[in-house]
Amino acid sequence: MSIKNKIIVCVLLLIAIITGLVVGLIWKDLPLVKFNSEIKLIEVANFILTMSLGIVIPFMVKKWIEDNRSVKAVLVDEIKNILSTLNKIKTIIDNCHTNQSISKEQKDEINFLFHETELQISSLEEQYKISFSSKQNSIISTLKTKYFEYKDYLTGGELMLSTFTNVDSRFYREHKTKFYQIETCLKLSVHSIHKL
Amino acid sequence: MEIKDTIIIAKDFAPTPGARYRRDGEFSGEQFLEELLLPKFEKAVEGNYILKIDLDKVWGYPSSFVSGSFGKLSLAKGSDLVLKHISFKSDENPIRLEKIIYEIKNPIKK
Repeated sequence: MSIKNKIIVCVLLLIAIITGLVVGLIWKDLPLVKFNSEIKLIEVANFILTMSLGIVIPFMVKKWIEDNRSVKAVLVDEIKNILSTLNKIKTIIDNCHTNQSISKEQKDEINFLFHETELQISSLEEQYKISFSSKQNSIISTLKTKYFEYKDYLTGGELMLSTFTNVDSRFYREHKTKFYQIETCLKLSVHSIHKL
Repeated sequence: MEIKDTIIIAKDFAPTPGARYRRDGEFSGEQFLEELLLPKFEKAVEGNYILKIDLDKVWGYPSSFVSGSFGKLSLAKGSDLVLKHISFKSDENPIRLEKIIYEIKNPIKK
């Protein structure tokens, strides 16, 4: 439930309580319902408030909190999946460094893993939009910027050249630095989602 | 304007696009630009119609390929004209589409 809907529900509840009080006051002289004149209005209001809180807190507030928590858990899982896919790219580079070679098939696989990552980012973005439409989308835009930096480093430079057949120590080291930048960004995104 | 021509990259060019220049290896962005994209784009401008580019069913688009083809076309012809006469289809991956349009709007000279 969005914040707008929550406010609407709260306002409707308040209106219902006030309407109930007003109707009660108007009808107090009807013969069918007789009120004890010793009962103070404040005591009735106190009773209604207690009853309302007893219903609202367990059924609505608790549900809102649980819904919010489960939505965040889903988003965090999506980020973990993105990290897991990017880790596969890191493993390929690590293995290529160990074996001192990289094939065209491995480069194609890296491109495909980037495609998979983009599908996951797109899914995360859509889910974020649905659940937190009122909040600024800075988490996703920062993540995308860092992701494109990492992708541009790997697929926008020497790795894609047909003459690049050996992952040397320099490339391995540079890649590690770039990878940890995107990894840190993803981990920070998890914290940011928890703070929403 | 209506769509009168289509390039399906996976079928008409390659399912595994390569690097930037021809000298960098097969299926480069430069090769795609010179053999397919530029001739068809110029015909689209001349005939005042839209060229549709289907981006699906490839392994992935290396950044150097995107820059060497769409980026280069944008540098040569201007982003407004490119986006006026080219429409993209990417049912598989919306982020891919976003990246290509960003490259057209912000081409990098390399």
